[in-house]
Amino acid sequence: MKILKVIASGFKNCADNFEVSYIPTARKTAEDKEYELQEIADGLYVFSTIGVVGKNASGKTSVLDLLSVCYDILGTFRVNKKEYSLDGDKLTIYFYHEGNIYKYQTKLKEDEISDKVLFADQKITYKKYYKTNVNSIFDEEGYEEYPLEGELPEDTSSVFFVMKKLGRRAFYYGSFDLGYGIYKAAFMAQRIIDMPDRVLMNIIRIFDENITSLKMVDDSNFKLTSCGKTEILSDKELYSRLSNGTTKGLLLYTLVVLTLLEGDDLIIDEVENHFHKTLVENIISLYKDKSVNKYNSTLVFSTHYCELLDLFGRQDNIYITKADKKVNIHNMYKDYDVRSELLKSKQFYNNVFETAVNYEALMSLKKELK
Amino acid sequence: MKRLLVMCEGSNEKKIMDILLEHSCLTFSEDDLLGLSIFHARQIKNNAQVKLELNMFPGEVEVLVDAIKQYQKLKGKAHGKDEFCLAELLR
Repeated sequence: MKILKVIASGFKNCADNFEVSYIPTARKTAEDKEYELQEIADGLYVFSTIGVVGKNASGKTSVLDLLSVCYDILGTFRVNKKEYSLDGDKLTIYFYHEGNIYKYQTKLKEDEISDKVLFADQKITYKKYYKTNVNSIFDEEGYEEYPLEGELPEDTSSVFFVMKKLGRRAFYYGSFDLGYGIYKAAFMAQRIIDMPDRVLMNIIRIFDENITSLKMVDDSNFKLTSCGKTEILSDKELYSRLSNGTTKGLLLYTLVVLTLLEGDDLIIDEVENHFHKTLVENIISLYKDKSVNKYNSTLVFSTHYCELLDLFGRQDNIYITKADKKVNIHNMYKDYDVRSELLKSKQFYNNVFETAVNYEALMSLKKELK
Repeated sequence: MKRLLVMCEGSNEKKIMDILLEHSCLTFSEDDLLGLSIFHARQIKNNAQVKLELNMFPGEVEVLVDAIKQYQKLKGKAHGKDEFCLAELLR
């Protein structure tokens, strides 16, 4: 299963027909096919990485939240209530699964009693994918209704009839603080894929070379060997002992390994948070390298660090968010005329995409402080 | 330690080099390579993946462009100073 495109109306503060596509629209070079794109079916390519950039409070996290909801639907067929309202949101999700292109439409309704979201007005249509039709996969022509084999509870999406089995489709690494629970989450992720301890130690060594061993004793106690000294520490003690970067890096890199080995997608909000630029570059390079990313994982991330976009070989996998009355999303390739040989970061600093920080506001604050 | 940046202009050349590398037929091993990989790239400045790998590596890099040049040698054509002949890289 791979998401191809998502269209939402009414989601958070986003404008109607808010669209995120995983499908390239610009020309595909041989080098792009090697690094920037993944062939999920004959001639059908999706992005290896997708970047979302924009000012503070421009709606970058909303894009990732939207994708996260879509992955929930496709993976567990259920959506729990969020800290934001999903009531009345309309979603259209195009996805590829076992030779077919599916179009799933629904309207979400928050249940008054439980913490679940209900699915209304559901419709699934599909068509067989043929290489000759690769440029018209989203065209209405050829879609036919998917037969639904029975009835499901209102809180279960009819995508169940297509996917049949529960499965993870993606992990979301948000910018929120997981607190002490982060170590348990990392070790649980390790167990999902039966990741050898040596791989985990490889991850830890990236962040802290003094640590030679870290093992989970039980849900809230850990055995740490650092600088030759071994101690049993509670998660709270470990949280204060390890650096913030090591703690976050442990979970993030474990999720990177997990998604690459399982072919799941990874969503990261503000990828540069707490990490050295080289580490962020390393994560991006892993998803582009087919000798590592063998199962078509896609990395979707938001960032304020526009230099990272210079490491993108394409423009159509870069989305720019802007908030006015509503959050709008723009595609760098479709919506801007930027010469490909120019550095993308330079364009950002030149405010080509109107993403520059408000200079007058900065000076106004400085004036107050004088 | 110095690393080798090996770039092949075409996907076929890269595939051949990957096979030779995998079977230890080359004078260098995977561990000698920048990013542990041979790259499909025409130019450093236009390839985002090569730029990523160069950004990450703090040491000295020796660049070898276009791995398959033996046909040029056979035809008696000269090759650029940073280009190389496959025959010279075989163990």
